Amino acid sequence: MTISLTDIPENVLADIFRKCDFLSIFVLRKVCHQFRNFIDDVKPCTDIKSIEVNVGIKKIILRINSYNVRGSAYVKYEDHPKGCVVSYHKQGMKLPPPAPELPPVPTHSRLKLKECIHEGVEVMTAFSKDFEAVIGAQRSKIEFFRVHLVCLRRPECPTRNSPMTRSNVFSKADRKTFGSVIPYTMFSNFDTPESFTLRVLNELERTLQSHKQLLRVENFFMEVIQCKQLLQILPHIDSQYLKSIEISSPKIYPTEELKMDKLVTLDQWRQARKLELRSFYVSTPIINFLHFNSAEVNIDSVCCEDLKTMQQAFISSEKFKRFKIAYNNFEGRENLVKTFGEAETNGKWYFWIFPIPGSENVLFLNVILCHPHTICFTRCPESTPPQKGCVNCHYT
Amino acid sequence: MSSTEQGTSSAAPAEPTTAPESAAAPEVPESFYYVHGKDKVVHKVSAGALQHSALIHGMISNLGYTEEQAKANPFPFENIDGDILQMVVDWCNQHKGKPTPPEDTNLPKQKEKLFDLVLAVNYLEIKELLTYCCKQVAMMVKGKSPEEIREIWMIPTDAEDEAAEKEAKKRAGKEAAGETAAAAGDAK
Repeated sequence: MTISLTDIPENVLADIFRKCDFLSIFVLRKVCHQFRNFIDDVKPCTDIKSIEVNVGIKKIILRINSYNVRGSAYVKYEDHPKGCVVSYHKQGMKLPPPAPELPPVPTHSRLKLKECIHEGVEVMTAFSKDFEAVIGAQRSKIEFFRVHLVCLRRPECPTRNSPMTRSNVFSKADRKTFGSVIPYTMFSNFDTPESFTLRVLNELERTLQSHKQLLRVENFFMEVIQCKQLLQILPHIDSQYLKSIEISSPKIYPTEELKMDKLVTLDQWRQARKLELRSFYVSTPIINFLHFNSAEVNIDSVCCEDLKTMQQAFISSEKFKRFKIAYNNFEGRENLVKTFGEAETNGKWYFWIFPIPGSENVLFLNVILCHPHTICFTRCPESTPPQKGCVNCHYT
Repeated sequence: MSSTEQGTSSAAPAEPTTAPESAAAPEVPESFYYVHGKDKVVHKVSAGALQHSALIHGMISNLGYTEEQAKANPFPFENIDGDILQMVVDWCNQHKGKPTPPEDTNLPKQKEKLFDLVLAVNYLEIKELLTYCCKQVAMMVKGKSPEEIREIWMIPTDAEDEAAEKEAKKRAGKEAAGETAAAAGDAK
């Protein structure tokens, strides 16, 4: 009688599965219910570094990166007239042969391994089942969890080739007519990108809710249109493990306000130590940001009192590193010198050094009153000061 | 652990067991043991080669056979095919006293042989060879779709499995009904 893989003793099967890369585990899970149950129990994949969800136009990409560079893979779920197409891709780093003078530059190679059409299965169903499996396979914390809303990003310049803004559901003729920009009216028969995104986020929320434990993630990144989308996902992240929160918008420029009344009350917000909030303006009281050791935010309006509060908090916080604010309005800028004392200045920028009692470090305050309207607190040794009048260059 | 050590010391003089084995090996004449599989073909294997197998090593330590006793009583492994046992013996001989390389390219590529080898190696507790075999199976899975894996290893789909289970239940039910009917007939 021929031996099947299912006849192998469990200890050996576990050993085999531990030697499989994530994509193989992903596939093995779909082979039969014995394997599925076994993988869910044993959780043989321990080297997941990051999970990334890319929401495209009528397609979702679930990207899994492992600590092994060669072990990174992604699964693409695309709409198909019969149901959905699931394709498995392997992404690895290839080093080209070194040129005589230049060091070799690694290039990413993408290899499509398999493509299966799941008849009568909706994209969302296929994705959520697999996503559930991925988070179920998580044994220890993962470094990154990212959600990108690629479909809501502004279409790029028509002369540029942008595969993420177009879907394969469009024919070449359509592309010729519209260039690389597909007008939203083309989606009249389908979901709009907005409604599709909402459905994906609802599905993500549902899956995370049904998961027994909170997702153990160190660094959380999410593209959102409104804060309520963030509130769908962030509460399901384990605050004990969370180190950094990065929030961005698919839109490039910060034009909208992020209403974060509920967000700042979350445990996840309070426990995180690093924040990057791009593409949005916030008008929350500055006190809600003072626990971060490192932060980058766009604040609609700042005043000298806020800066004074920050200065006092950062001087007493040993782990504080850097806080950068881009602002629209600076109320009472004429009171700067009155508040902080004499500064080094050229009229466009002001620069202060505040000694920290009992520490080798000092607190630097860099205020730029002209474009790019930025304020930056930096805590570091006095010997390595940040560049005056420039907040992007850290050190001179 | 302590019982194994005692067993060893009772079978052999106390001094050589305490000395490092690799250093003592060239001086002391090597002892041989005998194993046979399902086909009853006896293989002569050195104690050094058999050290790879935790199971056989334990048996040797516990039994404390002399050369003659070992020859007269080959270790029987009735659950292992002759050709598979030969493969295992060859591997043990090849890697006797050597550090094991990170990969072994000599493993069988046919899945039936490989699975038999996996079972045998697992039974004999040869850790390094089991690692190679598991790697080989993992390599065979790589890049395959669920359908291909099902086909290659003849794994039924969940639907097929359920249907088979239902049929088996039906059969069992029918048989039980037949038996009760027969018992009722007997009672009458």
